[in-house]
Amino acid sequence: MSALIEIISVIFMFIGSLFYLLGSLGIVRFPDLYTRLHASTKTVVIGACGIMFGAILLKGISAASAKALLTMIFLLLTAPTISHAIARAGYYSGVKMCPESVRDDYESYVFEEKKKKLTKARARARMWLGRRKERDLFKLVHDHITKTLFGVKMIADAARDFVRGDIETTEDEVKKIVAIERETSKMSYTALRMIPRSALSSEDSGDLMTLIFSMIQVSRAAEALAHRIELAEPYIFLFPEPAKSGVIKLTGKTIETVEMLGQAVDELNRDLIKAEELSNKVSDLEDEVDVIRRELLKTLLKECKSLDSTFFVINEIIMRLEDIADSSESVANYIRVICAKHLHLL
Amino acid sequence: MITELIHFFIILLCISCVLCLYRLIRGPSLADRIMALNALTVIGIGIAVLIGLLYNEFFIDVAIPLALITYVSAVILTRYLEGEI
Repeated sequence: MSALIEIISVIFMFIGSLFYLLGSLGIVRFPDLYTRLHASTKTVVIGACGIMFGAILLKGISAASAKALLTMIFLLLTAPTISHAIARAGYYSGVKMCPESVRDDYESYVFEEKKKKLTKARARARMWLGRRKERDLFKLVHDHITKTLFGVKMIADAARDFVRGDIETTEDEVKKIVAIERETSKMSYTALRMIPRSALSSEDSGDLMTLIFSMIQVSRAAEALAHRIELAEPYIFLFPEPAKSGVIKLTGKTIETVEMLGQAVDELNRDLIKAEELSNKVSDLEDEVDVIRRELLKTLLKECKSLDSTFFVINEIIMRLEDIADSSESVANYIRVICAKHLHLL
Repeated sequence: MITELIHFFIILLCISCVLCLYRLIRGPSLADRIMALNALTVIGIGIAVLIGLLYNEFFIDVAIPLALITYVSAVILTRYLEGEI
């Protein structure tokens, strides 16, 4: 009986050694990594199992055969994982298949996955302040900016009523504008106090502060314009006709500029490329404002040859409108600076 | 009789060791080397078991850590190759 068991175990061990030899031969002879893996995993592991099974038969029930059985089970469990990991790593690190191979189904899958990762990384890189906490801070700044721009937009109504000669509503609107600008300046102070406490890098917090400061310029200009309109009320009946229509036109263009700026700020933490385009548009609109203002001044100078206080009042209003457009352009320029800082990485 | 046969098997395993060493040295890629190292360790397990049969049972104990080491080292090396460490 024991002789039979010995013969069987020797046969198993012989088969195992043969598998080892053949597997190693395959490792040497096969043309590329994937076929070699095929040889190494299947053959070599089966060889190990054969030898261990022979050892178990030879030893009978003992501590040694238990250990051999344990190792065998462990090898059988881990061998597929190892070969899979090696094949995957080889594929991702660019190991080529041999030229005779016919098809590669994994390629399209890997390509898609890479594309997805890349678009995700791009989207993240296009945001200015990506992380959660900073997003809250940006929301504060953004609220400040939208509130300011809302106050500026109210100037359009005030100017329309003013030109129409409706003095009471104009006064109301001027008061409202001034109140809104007060509120925004308070908001800007809280935002400025929050920024150094946040986890922002010093560069980003500097950018945010500069943005707030240039926004304060816009609101100052709007407030000044509101006061000028209030001052000009007694003169409204002396305004020549082209001055009225010109002021309305100029106000419309300025408000368009400011609205474009608002969109650019909205995109700042979403898509920097879009924000850059929008701030370019702001600059273009500002140029148009300049052109309109120059034409208006030309016609006015032709109409009223004598330099009286009406012209002075009209000129003040035009200058303040221009101030609003100029300061919103400087905000747009700063947005462009921020975009340039972050987009060069793409 | 059986000891001579086991010696013969050990010689066979040594030959396959040399073949695997060829692949380990030759490469050409890092993945090939990892695979050859893995195969070498599994051959080492076989040799340990055979020597355990020949001389002393305690040599079979060598097989268990070797099997553990192959697994861990292969996983870590492939992770390294994928650029995740």
